[in-house]
Amino acid sequence: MARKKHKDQHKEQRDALTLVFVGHVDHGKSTILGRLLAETNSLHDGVLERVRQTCDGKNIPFEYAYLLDALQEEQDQGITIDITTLRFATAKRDYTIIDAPGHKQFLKNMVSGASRADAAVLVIDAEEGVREQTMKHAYLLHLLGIPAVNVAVNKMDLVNYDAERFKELEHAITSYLSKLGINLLRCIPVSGKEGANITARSAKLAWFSGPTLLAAIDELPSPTPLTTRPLRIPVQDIYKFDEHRVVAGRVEAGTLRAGDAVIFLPSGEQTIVRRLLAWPHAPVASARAGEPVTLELADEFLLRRGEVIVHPGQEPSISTTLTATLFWMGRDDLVQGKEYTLKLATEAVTCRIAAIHSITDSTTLERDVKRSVVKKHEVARVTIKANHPFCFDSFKDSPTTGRFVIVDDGIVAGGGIIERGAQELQSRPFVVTKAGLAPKRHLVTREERAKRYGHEGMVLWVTGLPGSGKGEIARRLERLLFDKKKNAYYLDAATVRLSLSSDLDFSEEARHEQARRVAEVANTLLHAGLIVIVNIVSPYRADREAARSLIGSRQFTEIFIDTPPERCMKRDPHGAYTRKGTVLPGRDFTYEKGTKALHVPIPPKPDYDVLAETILRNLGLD
Amino acid sequence: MDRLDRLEAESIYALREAYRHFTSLAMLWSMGKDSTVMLWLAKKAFNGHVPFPVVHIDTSFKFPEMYAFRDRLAKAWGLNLLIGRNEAALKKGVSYATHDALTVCHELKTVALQQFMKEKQFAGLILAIRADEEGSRSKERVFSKRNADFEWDYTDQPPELWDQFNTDVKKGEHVRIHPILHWTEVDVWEYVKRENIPCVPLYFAKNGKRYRSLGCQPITHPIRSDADTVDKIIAELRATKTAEREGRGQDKEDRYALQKLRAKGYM
Repeated sequence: MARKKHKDQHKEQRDALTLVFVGHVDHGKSTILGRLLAETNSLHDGVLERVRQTCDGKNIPFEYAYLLDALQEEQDQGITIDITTLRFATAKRDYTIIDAPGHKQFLKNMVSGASRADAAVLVIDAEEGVREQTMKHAYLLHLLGIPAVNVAVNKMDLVNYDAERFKELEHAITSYLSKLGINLLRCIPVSGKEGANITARSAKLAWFSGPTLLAAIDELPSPTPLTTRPLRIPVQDIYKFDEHRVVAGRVEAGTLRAGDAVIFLPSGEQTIVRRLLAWPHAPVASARAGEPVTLELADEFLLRRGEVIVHPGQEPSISTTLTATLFWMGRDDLVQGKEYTLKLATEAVTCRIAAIHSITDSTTLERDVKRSVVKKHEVARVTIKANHPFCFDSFKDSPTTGRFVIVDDGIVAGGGIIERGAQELQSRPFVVTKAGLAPKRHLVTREERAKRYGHEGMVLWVTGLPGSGKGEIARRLERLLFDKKKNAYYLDAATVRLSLSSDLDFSEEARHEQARRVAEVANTLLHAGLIVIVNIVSPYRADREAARSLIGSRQFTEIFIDTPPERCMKRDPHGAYTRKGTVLPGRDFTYEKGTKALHVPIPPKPDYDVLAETILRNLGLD
Repeated sequence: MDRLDRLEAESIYALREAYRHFTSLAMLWSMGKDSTVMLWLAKKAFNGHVPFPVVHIDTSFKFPEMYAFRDRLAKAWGLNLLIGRNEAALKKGVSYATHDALTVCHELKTVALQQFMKEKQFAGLILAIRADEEGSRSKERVFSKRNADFEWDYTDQPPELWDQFNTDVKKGEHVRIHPILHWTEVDVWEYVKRENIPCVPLYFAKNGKRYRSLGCQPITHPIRSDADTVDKIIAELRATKTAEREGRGQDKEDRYALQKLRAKGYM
């Protein structure tokens, strides 16, 4: 909701940066911050006064950390429990400062704070040196994708401001961070307690030629906006408060302009964005990454939260399977094979951890591959498989749509960043587009074809158990439609197995891939203007939903031929049930019934001609 | 995007998530600047509408100007205004004249809210608290769960990252949604100015005094100020070194007063 007119009145366009302070417990993050705020005059009188009273009451010297650690438990125990947000400003820009707890128990609070940051200051105790949480926090900064890090070596007073000790620590942390690929911008010696080199230089650190901590913070680069990346607008909700239905969302990446042609994925619905509403103002011309949008579309079709609006030719991955680096914060272990909910932007899918490739010790960076569970505070490289295909990017290409959380028992328990969709042929069933292969527009339109043929193209997806009689019905549908002067074509999945899918067996993975290939062939024939009658077992609901998404729900009809399993086995027209070693739905695993299918119950002595005619009548094709 | 744009976008996102996830949802409105700005943000999020009830927990001790503002805006903005009062306590005569501020606040605000929530069974409650107001509020999440007894377990909050909020509730629990948690006092006034949002006249100086924070009349005190326009208020706040809630009596009873009130369900 850009507001150009109003922005002009807004004289001070100050730069803003969100900065998180992390590090091992008791290394003095809150003390440095308290000092920073006090020395930059950023505190209210009441706050300083209250902390002075608290400290007098406890008979201790003024404790800068109390300025931040406001909870009674935090002050009594002398540790930060949860994040604190503060503001201060320099001549250069406005800062939002997040103080994250360093105690191991509160790592999830540290992650919550750091996930909102543009840059970080990692605090290390000069006496204690690099400790477990120092490295864990550094590792998490890397996972959270925070590009810019400064290190403050604190408590220099405890080591007599010794230059050698500082250099030793600088070397240790630099080598650790560089292994992670973190760009360490500055390493600065300070004393929070004595106020040395926080905002003003100190004679005791005369040997140090670098800047003060405050000056180093001002040097941190501002975050680069995602406005020039490919457009990603996850659908957040659909409203109909007024006459028009509108789509609500936020531009996660890229820029959208009124009049743009867009695609909704995974459904594949195409439309034009008619207007970008901006109550109380007139509609705006465009919206950029970070801005909320309220969109009016040119066409009406079924809309679902979690679909992603993109520009044609810039599609994300659409798949059930992805590989990611995951950090776990759950109360219970992450268990391979167990069901979780994955939430990415506005999408939520049921998923399982298909494989745990490695578990990394964040302090030694050593990998341990022998386990099938991930424990609290561990980082693992995993492959995740969802129950239905959804949109995502790699974190590198599009950070806001390349990260997700895992929800366990209703609570966010882990966060992950996506490396890529799975590469193995059979486990990447629904990858739609690759850059440079954007479809070219035909010179013959769909409308022209429909006019000549006298009907639109469509797909009748006839599904059911082996031996259910679906082939009998499907072939009759082709005959009946042809006789009615329609361009109908019977596509038997079994035939596809002899040609296009000759490399596939009857495993679960291969069945997914087979359904995907048949759906692609049917889709091509549909574009040629045909009524395609597909005969395919397709026992998994996700595969049929994926076919529906690919083909478009308006052109796709699922027809479920419902014959009891015992009767299918008795009929067994192709000898499928007698072949040794085959795993069949209805007998060895459950056929997943769909909710959107036209349901055709088959009586004990079926008349397939009558059944086929009834189906056509139900579909309005008679 | 400048800072106000970023804050506005964050708030709208949280409001839309709340509306999406909770069919029984309400917003608390105290008529103060913060919750009035939040109402305005809701109108922006929902294309000019406020598609859930707006609740005033009424202690009966507010300023007359606040009641007038409430009724005027409710009408002008077409709000579905609901009022919650602890009638039993009011009948018993609980008041600032007879009781200490913490007791009155607990009875007429926390208990009134508990009674109201019990009756209406809202699973989501939107509040206009800000992290910079006070220590325990700075520890909040944007979506923060309260148990059936209204308690807030601030020692063990689930993580909240990348705008993935914890929205699951069991029966009797509710989630507090804090869309303007990351705004500061100056942000609120700069936004009031930019968007031209109406405010209770008590905020503007008269005879050298104005109210910086509004609560119950008997325990809310004005500050010395000549700021009689939004611009002057912004200039005053940029220069000030006193805390916003200095004029609020209930905070002063005990060093951890607000933390204790809030752990029991106070706003």
